[in-house]
Formats: sequence, C-alpha cells, structure tokens
Amino acid sequence: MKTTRRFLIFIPVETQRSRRAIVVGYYAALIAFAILFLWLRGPAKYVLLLPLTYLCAAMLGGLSVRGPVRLFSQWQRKFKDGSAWGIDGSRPHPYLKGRPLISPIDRLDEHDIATRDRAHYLAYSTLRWPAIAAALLAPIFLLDATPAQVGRILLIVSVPVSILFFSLPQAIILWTEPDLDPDSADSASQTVFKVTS
Amino acid sequence: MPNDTNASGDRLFNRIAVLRAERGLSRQDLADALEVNYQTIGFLERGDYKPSLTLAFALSRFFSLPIEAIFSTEPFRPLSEQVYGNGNPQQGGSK
Repeated sequence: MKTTRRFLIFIPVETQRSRRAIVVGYYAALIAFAILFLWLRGPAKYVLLLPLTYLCAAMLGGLSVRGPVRLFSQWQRKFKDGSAWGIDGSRPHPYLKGRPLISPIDRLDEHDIATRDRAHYLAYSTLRWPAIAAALLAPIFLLDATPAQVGRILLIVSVPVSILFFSLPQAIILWTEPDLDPDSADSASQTVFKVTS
Repeated sequence: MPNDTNASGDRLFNRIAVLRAERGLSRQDLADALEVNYQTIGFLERGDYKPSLTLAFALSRFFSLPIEAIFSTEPFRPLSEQVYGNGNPQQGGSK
C-alpha cells in the first residue's frame, strides 16, 4: 500500500490544523518581514522581499516539484526508461504521449483539477476588489507625486500583489482541505499484518 | 419551494464505502484501479464531491453494478432492510 506523507520543511501537513497553522505562520512571517524592512532598512531594501516571495511560493508548491500543495506542484513524472519530466499533471505534453510511466497516478484527477480551479477562482475573485480600489485610488496618490515617490509606491504595492498572486490559491487549498476519516480497510489490513508478522 | 427538499437538497448519495468494505479494499486500492487520487475516493464517500459521468461509469464497471445501485439522489435504505424487508425478522429468515 502506498502512503503519501507530506511535509513543509519538516512540518507535517497531513492534518487540517497543521495546514492552517502553516497558512497563518506564512502570512505572519511575510508581514513581519515587510514591517522589518520598511522600518529598519527603508523601502529601498523592500525589494529583498521579492526573492523571499518566490522562495515562499515554491514552499507552498506553486513553483516546485512535489510541494506540499500537491495540486499546485509541478509533478515530476518518471519513466520506465529512467528519464523524468517535470510537468503540469493536468495537461499531458505531446512528448509524453505513449510513453510508459512508472506512476501514472501522479497526474491530477478530475477532483484535483476542480479543487484547484475553485481555489484559483476564489483567490482571484477576492483579489479583484483590492485591485479595483487601487485603480480608483491611484490618481489621488500618484498625480502630485514625484517620479521617485511613484516608483516607491509601485514597489511597495507590487510585492504584496505578487505574494498574494503566487500564494493565495495555495493557501486556500491548505486552509479548506478537510481531514479524511481513517480508512477502515487500511487499519484492518494493518492489524492483520501486525498479528501475522 | 417546499422545505422538505432540504433533507436531501442537491446531494448525491452513494454506496461506495459499503461496496469497498464488502470487497475488503482500501481507498488506495480503489483509487489505483480507477486511476484517481485516494483522497478523491474519500471525498466521494463523504458526499463532498460529485463524480463526472466518466468516473461514475468507471465505478459502475469496477463494482459490476448499475450506476443507480451506487449513486442516488435520495438516501439509500440500509442494505439489511432491503434484503430482509421492513424490519420483520420473519421475512429475513429464509433464502
């Protein structure tokens, strides 16, 4: 029987409680970094948050292979000839057609794709309101601003936007994914194994 | 709209957990056979996810049962009640 244990830097993400703790910790850490850079180092150093953003997005599975958020991971398919191909599991590449896979189950199934699409929709429909507000308020802040001030404002706005763009759908998945009941057939087979071994 | 529809609403009931238990299969076994993720089987069993027709037919083929024996828009009666009648032990005694 295959068991899939998921971790985020040694933190197990198998229970909803731990997954939600990761989401809270993730955004709390990013806000703390933002405050730290703005207060202690000045807005010029704020740009240092960008690599951190991409690193954190990779941690949540958006940019990495086999991240904890499986639906957003670029799953690496391994072939019987020993080669591997990192690819979005929902869209088979023509290169893969007809090639035997070691673990064909690694692709996303219909429920995975539906869940991922729903998370995207929820995330981006939430983000549209701040986006509309920003578009409406932009003239007030930018019309009388100097080019240096405009650049600074854009930098400060772009970092949270890119952080949310990369992380919000994954965070929604982590937050809403329910825990499944234990599989009675699994526990039964494990009990038999313990008795007979 | 009458309130009594709230009892079932647009839920889709299924017997996947019972059928799987009857055959001694784990979620992973069934998932492997249907080429889906084992979590998908769990969400199906809980009624949290309505399968596509493709997956419903795959389940039907796997269990060798018609789709209406696996899925229903109304809650299923317990199998014991269906087999042995309406709670009358005299009816269930003979085969």
